[in-house]
Amino acid sequence: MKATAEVSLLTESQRSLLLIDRMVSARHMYNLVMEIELAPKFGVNELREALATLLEIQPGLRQTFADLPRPHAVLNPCPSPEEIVVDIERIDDLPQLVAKTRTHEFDLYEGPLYRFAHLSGDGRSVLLLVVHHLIFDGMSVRPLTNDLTTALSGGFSADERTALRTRREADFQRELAAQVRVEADPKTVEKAAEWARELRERSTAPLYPRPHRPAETSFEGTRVDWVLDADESAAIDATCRDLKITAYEFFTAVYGAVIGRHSATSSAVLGSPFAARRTIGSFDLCGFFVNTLPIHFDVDWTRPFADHASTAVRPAVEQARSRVGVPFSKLVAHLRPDRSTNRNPLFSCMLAMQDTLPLSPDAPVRSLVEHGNGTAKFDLWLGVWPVDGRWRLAVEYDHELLPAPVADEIIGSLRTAIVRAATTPDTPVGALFEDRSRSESSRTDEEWAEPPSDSLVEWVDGTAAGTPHAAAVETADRTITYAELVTASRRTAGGLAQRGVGAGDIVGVCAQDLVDTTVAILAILRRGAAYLPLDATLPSHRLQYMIDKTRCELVIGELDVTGPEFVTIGDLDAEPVADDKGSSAYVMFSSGSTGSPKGIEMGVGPLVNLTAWQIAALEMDASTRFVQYAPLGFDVSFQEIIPTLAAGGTVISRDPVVRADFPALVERLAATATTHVYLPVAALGAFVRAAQDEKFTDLRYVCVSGEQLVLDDVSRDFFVQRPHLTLVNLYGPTETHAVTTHRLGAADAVWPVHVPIGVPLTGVVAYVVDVTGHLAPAGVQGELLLGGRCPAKGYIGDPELTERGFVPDRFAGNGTTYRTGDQVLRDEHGVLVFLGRTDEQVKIRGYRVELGEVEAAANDVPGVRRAVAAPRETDSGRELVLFLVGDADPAAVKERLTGRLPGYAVPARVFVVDAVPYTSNGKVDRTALLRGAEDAIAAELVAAAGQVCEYLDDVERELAEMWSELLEQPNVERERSLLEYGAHSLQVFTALARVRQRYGVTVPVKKFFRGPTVAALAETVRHAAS
Amino acid sequence: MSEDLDDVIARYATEPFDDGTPIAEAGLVSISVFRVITDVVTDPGVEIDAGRLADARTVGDLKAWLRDILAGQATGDAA
Repeated sequence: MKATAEVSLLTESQRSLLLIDRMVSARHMYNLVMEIELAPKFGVNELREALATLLEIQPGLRQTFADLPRPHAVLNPCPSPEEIVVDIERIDDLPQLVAKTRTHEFDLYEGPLYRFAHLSGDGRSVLLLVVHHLIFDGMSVRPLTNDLTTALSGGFSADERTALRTRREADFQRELAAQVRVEADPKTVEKAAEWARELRERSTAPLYPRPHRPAETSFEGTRVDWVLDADESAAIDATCRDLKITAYEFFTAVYGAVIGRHSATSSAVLGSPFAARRTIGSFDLCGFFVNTLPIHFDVDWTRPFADHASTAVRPAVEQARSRVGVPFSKLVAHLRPDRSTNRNPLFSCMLAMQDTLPLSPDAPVRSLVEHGNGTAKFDLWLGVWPVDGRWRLAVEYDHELLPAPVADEIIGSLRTAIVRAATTPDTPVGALFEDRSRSESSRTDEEWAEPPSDSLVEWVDGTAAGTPHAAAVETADRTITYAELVTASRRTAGGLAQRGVGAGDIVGVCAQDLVDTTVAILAILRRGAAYLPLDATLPSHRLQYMIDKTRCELVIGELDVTGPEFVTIGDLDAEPVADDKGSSAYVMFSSGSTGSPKGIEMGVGPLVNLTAWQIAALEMDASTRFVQYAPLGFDVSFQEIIPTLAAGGTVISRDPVVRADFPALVERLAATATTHVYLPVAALGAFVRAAQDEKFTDLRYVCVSGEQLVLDDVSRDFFVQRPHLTLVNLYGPTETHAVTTHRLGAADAVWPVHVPIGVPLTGVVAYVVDVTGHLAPAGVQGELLLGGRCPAKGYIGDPELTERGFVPDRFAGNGTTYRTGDQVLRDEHGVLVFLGRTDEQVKIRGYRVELGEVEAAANDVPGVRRAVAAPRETDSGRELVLFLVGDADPAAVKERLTGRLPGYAVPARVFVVDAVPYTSNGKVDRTALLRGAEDAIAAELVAAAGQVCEYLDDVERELAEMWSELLEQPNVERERSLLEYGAHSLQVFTALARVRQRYGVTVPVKKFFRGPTVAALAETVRHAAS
Repeated sequence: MSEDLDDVIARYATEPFDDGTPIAEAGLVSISVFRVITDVVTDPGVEIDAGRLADARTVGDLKAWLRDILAGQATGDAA
């Protein structure tokens, strides 16, 4: 546009939008696309004249923008009709033209920020307008159509136009001045601080919170539109009247509940654009006078919707409205949220309600339809319009964050909840939703080897009869055949019978020689009794507790406890008797990390189910050689021993190798031609590192369980280089047997770092119950409840605890489910993903961070031998710190992680430590590490006090001086985050514009936020200049 | 004056109202409240405080608020 432009003020909202425009790759994200139906008599010439009038009397449309000396707007002169570009197209090409022009990239500095096309044919005349949001908001539509109507009707004389132009330009400047004045008002500043405090106390949660959820996206969106029918629309209007709420409050109340359900939280935060126009004259203007602000409220699922809408949501909306003068950027400045990504830092879901227009089919401007522009500015956006007495809704979602199946579930929840809230507003908020189909919960991997018997012993006996001379158990110094095993266990059972052991009894077993242990277990099972593994290395008070709790009267082995009778296998040798049939197989104690250890009594039925699954799923047969690695007191030991015997394979003793000696273990597995090994997740990394030179030609399956499996590159490469191996990740609390699995092999294209727990095994039902108490849809986090043929009988001697943990299966109507207390979700493929214990989630700046993933990323950095991440509490919120063992440079590690992890997951500080301390129960002692970190930070502060800031070179010195001026701070340290000094978006903006001017280097805003220090900025400048 | 205001409000209200009727119950949404204001207040320079407007609960509150603005408009003050 020509010179003679006037400099104009810029509102904070415009500044924010300019900033976003720099941070996103989808430059057309803020394009508004409007199809304006004109009376057919108006051709392109009349339209061009009318548009010239429109641009003359709407100064806001003539804006462009500039950065220096400070960001500002420019009010350009009016173009003549001839200067206005209007593309001329046929009406048939409308869809293609919409698709093409909606992605037009406006040059915010050169302008113009609008684009016109005229389409005609078939008795129609259409103006297609694409305009940048920076100069046009929702309330601009009415002035636009009003002015266009008058102009097309020839309603403005030249004098009127000139007068109107002068008046509107004055009105425009007055509105901007009013906005700028209010922004700077101390009362506004105070409100912003107060609001920020409230928001800080709220925990927000993202939709579809899967691990490795993209931290940023390209904003590609999908839009889904629907119109409510007349009855539903009327019901909404009636409910609004009854509840004395506005339709906006109604939709906010429903939308907030949907967001709550799908992000698994009872605290909703959503954004909404508020008209921030202050002067009467501004209501006739096109422009960007909108402030997008958060609305936050709690969602109580038991409360009737009516109550929720009128007592939780309405006040929240009113409060936001009363703070409409607070610019979004001021809130952000106070909250200092993570800005290293291109996502909105305050809210991820948006609700926009649009105006109705007083247009009629015989007017010059007949109707206006707004089209999506193919982007999603938010994770989820809901638009609501009243159209001809009905409600029209549109949802836009970012499909990188919400795959279509997940988004469809959100839309499904929204549709159901809107109708229920409108028709039965007394419904509790949780009951606005429905259970997801139960068939999803019972979908399994369908692996199954039909059991020949409902008794484990009969199964083993049947197999033994077929292979009497095959090796059943092999230790370093002896082997027992199936025939010998059956005979020995029958004779031992005879001895147990002599001592009165029968169905329902519990007999202790101390782990000893694997042959004796196996004989003892089988003998106890023959009596219909349950075995109780007793580990002699446990403290005697713990063993005493286990004996007392189970009222165990007989122990095979020796221990330092009082009460039961102790016998050896030899003592029990007697004539065999007929087997007895019992219903329990073992009692195992949970670790007792919270409260007292609990004795879990496991029934035979679930274990027959597990065995039938495992033989098929792990391809077990007479050639199977399964190493017995797990301590007998862990339920994994059952999976190593009994299914192997039922399949006719050989159980291999780990002895004489000690558990943690992985090089020796690797040697033993190779020497014994082991085919199956089952390790704790924590041991996998050490195991594969010890096995780098071992091909493992016999090994087929490596099973792991115990905690979340986070795979590093070394582990993945190990399997990829040995394509005959399958890695099986199993999940299952002691209160059930192993219940879900996820397999990975060399052929799998994707090896997730955070390995899913997979799908249930045959016979198991896995319910994901969301915050509303319903079966969760895909992508929704909830507690995992396990039913079908897997729950144990309960906690021995603790009926109360049993009743709490093992609850009736309300979804099936019969049977029992075990409440795991584990948070999971089903992904869009129906695969279960473990998200952590309900009470153990680490959140940094509102984002869920998995410490294991940060550690896995750090472990892949050369020189790092061991990495431990931990959350550290500071005055300005929680930060992530990383502790390293090894000779890697902390700064280099941090830099590597910056490229690999989202900003919030990059440790704020990295410390090198000599060794990782452990607690008494073998877990990493993060508290001790954090104590050390506090000491180091304190020492650093003492050392830094009174020092003069030092810079690497003149670039750093100049940049520090510039920041020092912008921040009004005497000293700006080179390594300290400028955000910690309080740098906000406007200052960043100005600084980067000055950098461009001074050094000729354009630093992307996003790049700046990834390392907001003088040192990093200087490095970027130096790098670009060289 | 007061009757005039009722007439303007009636243009946008969808339900019968008196001064005690809550604004929402009269069927006035935020956009229609703005319409009422722009119909009543003619001086383009008059400033409205949307934050204060949010405190108006009833039609009576809205009218009182509008009268304040009109008084300011007459004396040249911005509200």
